[in-house]
Amino acid sequence: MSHINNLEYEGTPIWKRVSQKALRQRAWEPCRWQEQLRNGEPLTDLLIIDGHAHLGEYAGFLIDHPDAEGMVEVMDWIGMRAAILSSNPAIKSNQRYGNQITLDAVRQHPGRLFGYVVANPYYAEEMEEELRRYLAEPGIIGIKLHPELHDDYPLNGPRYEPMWEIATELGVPVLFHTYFGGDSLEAIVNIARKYPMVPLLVGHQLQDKSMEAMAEMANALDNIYIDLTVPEIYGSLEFFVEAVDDIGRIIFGTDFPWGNCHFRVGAVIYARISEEQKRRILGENAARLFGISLD
Amino acid sequence: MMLTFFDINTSIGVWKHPNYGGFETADELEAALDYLQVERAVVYHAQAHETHAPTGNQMLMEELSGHPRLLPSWVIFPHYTGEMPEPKTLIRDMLDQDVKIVRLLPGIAGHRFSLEPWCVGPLLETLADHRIPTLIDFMFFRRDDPDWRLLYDLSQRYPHLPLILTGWAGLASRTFFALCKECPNLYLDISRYHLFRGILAFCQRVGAEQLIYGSGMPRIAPGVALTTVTHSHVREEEKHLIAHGNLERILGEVLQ
Repeated sequence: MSHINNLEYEGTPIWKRVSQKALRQRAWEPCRWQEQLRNGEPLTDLLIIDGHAHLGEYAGFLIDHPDAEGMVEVMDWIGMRAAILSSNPAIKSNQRYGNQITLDAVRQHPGRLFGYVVANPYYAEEMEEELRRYLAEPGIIGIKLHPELHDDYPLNGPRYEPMWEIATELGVPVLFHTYFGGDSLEAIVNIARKYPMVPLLVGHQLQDKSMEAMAEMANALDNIYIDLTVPEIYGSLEFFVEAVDDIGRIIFGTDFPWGNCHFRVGAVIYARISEEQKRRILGENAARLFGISLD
Repeated sequence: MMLTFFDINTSIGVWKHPNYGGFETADELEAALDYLQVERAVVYHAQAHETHAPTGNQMLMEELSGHPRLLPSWVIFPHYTGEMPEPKTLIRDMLDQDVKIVRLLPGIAGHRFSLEPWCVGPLLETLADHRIPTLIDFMFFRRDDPDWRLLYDLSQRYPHLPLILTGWAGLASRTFFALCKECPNLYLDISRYHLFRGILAFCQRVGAEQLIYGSGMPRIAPGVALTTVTHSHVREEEKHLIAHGNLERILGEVLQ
């Protein structure tokens, strides 16, 4: 039985697999990086890759110094090695202008900033050319969809067909936003089945729907990844580490500069999981999924 | 020198919707504070929020007995229905039990009372007489904003009452910065203040004196608010004010 109508979930029910009581009783064991955080220092011996970032100003609220330099400066405060971003203009307004800003930032900071090209369903006629052009650029390594800011246009709508075909052809990961409306759990499962060669990063760990459904989906479908962008929910790290068969499916993200990136790194570092699990979640999983080499 | 932290926003008790691994008792809260190297914390009780304030406050006092590093925070509301004593009696009772900070949950999602002067006026007036720090929890959803005019009016009407806005994410800085400059008795608990470079921007444009460290545990994960402060990139003296100094100051100004 599953939380999702069209998903046959054979495993142990998540609520039985993850014990509230056992997590509550788990020991508070400090890890090696806490002292550095406590002293306000960057984490220099840990690979941190932000798999869900943005860039640039936003009409609705203050984002102070959100240009490429401002982003990299803030990354340095916490010791973040790389961020994969889509610019705010690309998701919120003019995707031609916005995707160019993303590319400019990636070119200015190779190896620190990587990019998602945003597909705007309302410009479907130019989508194929735009996606191919950007995805041919070094450092543009994924596609970003934002249903909430595109009037809940459905992921399986015909205007996205060119995007899904290109993502399949090139095998690039697709990150999509989920909360405040958006597609149903069933629709996400259908997309994952229809495009099995496309790694799907399910935005914001399905925080508004169900983290248990998120775990079921990741366990049942090989191309589903958890975009861990709300690790500040108490216990969510501990939950996913217990609930998911393969923690390689958990990709760290901060959504910065929609907010700060530091506190979300802090949520992982102070979580009651092992150092090895922190290492994988904070950077190694993303490096593997996106083929990023930072040596 | 390592920062000392004094947390204005923690809770104990059993929540209707528990988070995975969330603690319930004072002992467990202290273990979490030890882990974070946090010195002290202000605590309210889940049942004062979700069940009934007087019941929860009583449970809080019983649970915190023998835990001097945990400061009780009562959840209160106006007295007109007879559920709460009249303000002077209530506050005297609180102070006699060494309770020096309170939490209000106005509005439909909380305890359904108005913050207009004709309703909460006598209560706030008594709190102001004793300068008792008063947290206002509007139970914000992620992108909600408070009633700015009401906050302005309350701050102006009770200039000696420290009012602490809690649970707010900080997106409406264009309004909030202006409000705080006008209302030096208005504070923000930073437990959900996640604005990009937000602490730095606030300190540069308003001042560190109106920010107070709060973790929101066990609703919010440990280390979140702490890292917000440690990596805020403000001056050390500003970090000290936010981490513990401002809260110590307003608690030190409570009049018996």
